[in-house]
Amino acid sequence: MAVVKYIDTNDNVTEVEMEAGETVMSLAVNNMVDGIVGECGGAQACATCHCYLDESLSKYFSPRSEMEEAMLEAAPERKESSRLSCQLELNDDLPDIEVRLPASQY
Amino acid sequence: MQQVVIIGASHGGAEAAIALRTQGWEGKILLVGDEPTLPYQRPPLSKGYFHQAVSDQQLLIKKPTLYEKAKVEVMLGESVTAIDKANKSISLASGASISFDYLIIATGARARKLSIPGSDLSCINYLRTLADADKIISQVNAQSHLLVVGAGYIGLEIAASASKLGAKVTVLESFPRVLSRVTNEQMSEFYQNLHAQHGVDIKLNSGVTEFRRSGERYVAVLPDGEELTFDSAVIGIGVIPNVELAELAGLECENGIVVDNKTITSEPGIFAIGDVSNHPNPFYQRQIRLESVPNAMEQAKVAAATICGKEKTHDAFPWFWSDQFDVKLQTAGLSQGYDSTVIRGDIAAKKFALFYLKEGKVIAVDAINSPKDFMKAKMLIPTGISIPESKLADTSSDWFE
Ligand SMILES: Cc1cc2nc3c(=O)[nH]c(=O)nc-3n(C[C@H](O)[C@H](O)[C@H](O)COP(=O)(O)OP(=O)(O)OC[C@H]3O[C@@H](n4cnc5c(N)ncnc54)[C@H](O)[C@@H]3O)c2cc1C
Ligand code: FES
Repeated sequence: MAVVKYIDTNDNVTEVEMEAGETVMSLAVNNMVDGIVGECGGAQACATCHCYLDESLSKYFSPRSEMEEAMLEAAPERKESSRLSCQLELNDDLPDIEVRLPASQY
Repeated sequence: MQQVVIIGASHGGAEAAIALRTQGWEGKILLVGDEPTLPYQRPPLSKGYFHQAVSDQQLLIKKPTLYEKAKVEVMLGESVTAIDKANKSISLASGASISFDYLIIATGARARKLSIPGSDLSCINYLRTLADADKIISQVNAQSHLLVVGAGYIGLEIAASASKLGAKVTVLESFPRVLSRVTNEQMSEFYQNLHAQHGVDIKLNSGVTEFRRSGERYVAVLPDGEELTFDSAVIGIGVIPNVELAELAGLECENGIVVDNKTITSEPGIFAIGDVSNHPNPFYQRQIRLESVPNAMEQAKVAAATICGKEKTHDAFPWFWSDQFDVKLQTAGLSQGYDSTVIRGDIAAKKFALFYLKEGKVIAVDAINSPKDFMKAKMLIPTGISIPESKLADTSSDWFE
């Protein structure tokens, strides 16, 4: 079973078994992973689910929508690899996924 | 073993239960709710769930396994009938009494009822719960005429979702404009046009004085005597905080249960969070009661941290969102008391921000399909910003630089 690894700024890793139908955000929320809040429940309205997804893994997910792009543009600690984790949908065919978390979700 | 009891299993209650565990609470946690389902997201009930883009599985705030993992005992379909603050216990409708060391009241709010002739007919609905939503949705289809009474956010979202499902929709509003409590005239006009473009008929300066059965269908009588035939109706005229338990227990209540910035009520050891709480806001320097998920979640975290002996105060800036047709509104701050407004962007292109100012200071923003302005405003308004109106309006450069 593939896993999602959540890595915080101190390089602490929380590993959670993947579940199809969940998103990287909801999987974190349902496993008490610190550092992903998900205030709006995936409505692309809050950006409290901000994470960094390595370029090499981006092919497994649908690209950023216009709304996601615009939300991230103003997110603190924005990087090239920024994603809203509520938009990263998990399925059974994925390999292990690794995401890094920003210092704080504001 | 010590026990925290939480009354109300929704956004506030669910978040508090899990936050207690993540913050290090080692005693028992009991979450009691009178609805039959595990805590679910309310916002989609008038949006994605209504127009069938979101399933009921996706509505769950937390998965069933999380409550097990976090050792949260969940008691559903059970109503709390009394709080005994002297003996630190609650009574359940089923007769049992349960003692607590700390109590969190997260009883939320209920829909305000309309009381006119015929308002108890079975075609008259209110939207607060999943059960309400399922009943309403079952009556809406491409052949039906839905009547919405009240043009607040929820009423307008229902109108948009029902119209997406192909239903004919009429909205009755007693004020001369929609969203009159929360936005300015320009924003009201924007939403009126948006709905008109999608075929929703909004009647302003209107309302309803009576409902009647008429064969298989129903009739609404408007104040000017006009009669409208419809199939089902949803009333969206605001909510009333569920304070009765707290009032009976002698806790201080005024437009909600009065709490401090740690969500503590007038009784030490008893907390109140979410829609039911009336709390201080440091930016507006007054007591406010909010109806928003982010507020319920934030207060839940503050209550949990405080119970765990940690230092955390509730100073989050109010914000909210609304989805109607292809328009996403994100609003930060409360606009009440503004003395001028500035539009930034293009209203016709459905992409603009409306800034509300008071004595030169920005106090709130309504951002239409403009997440960047919203995000920046949400971060910067609480710090106290005075920006010249010309700069706010000038889209050739960023207003926040
Ligand atoms: C259709 C709709 C759309 C919305 N859209 C948005 C949106 O887009 N964005 C946003 O931020 N907010 C939105 N809201 C508001 C948001 O849902 C509320 O702010 C939020 O649910 C508040 O959470 P709460 O836990 O404080 O209270 P509630 O969600 O009201 O939950 C309180 C719970 O306590 C239970 N209860 C009450 N009394 C008792 C008792 N005596 N014993 C046991 N249980 C009891 C109630 O039945 C209920 O389950 C929307 C609300 C609705 C109805
Ligand atoms: S959860 Fe709010 S934007 Fe992702």
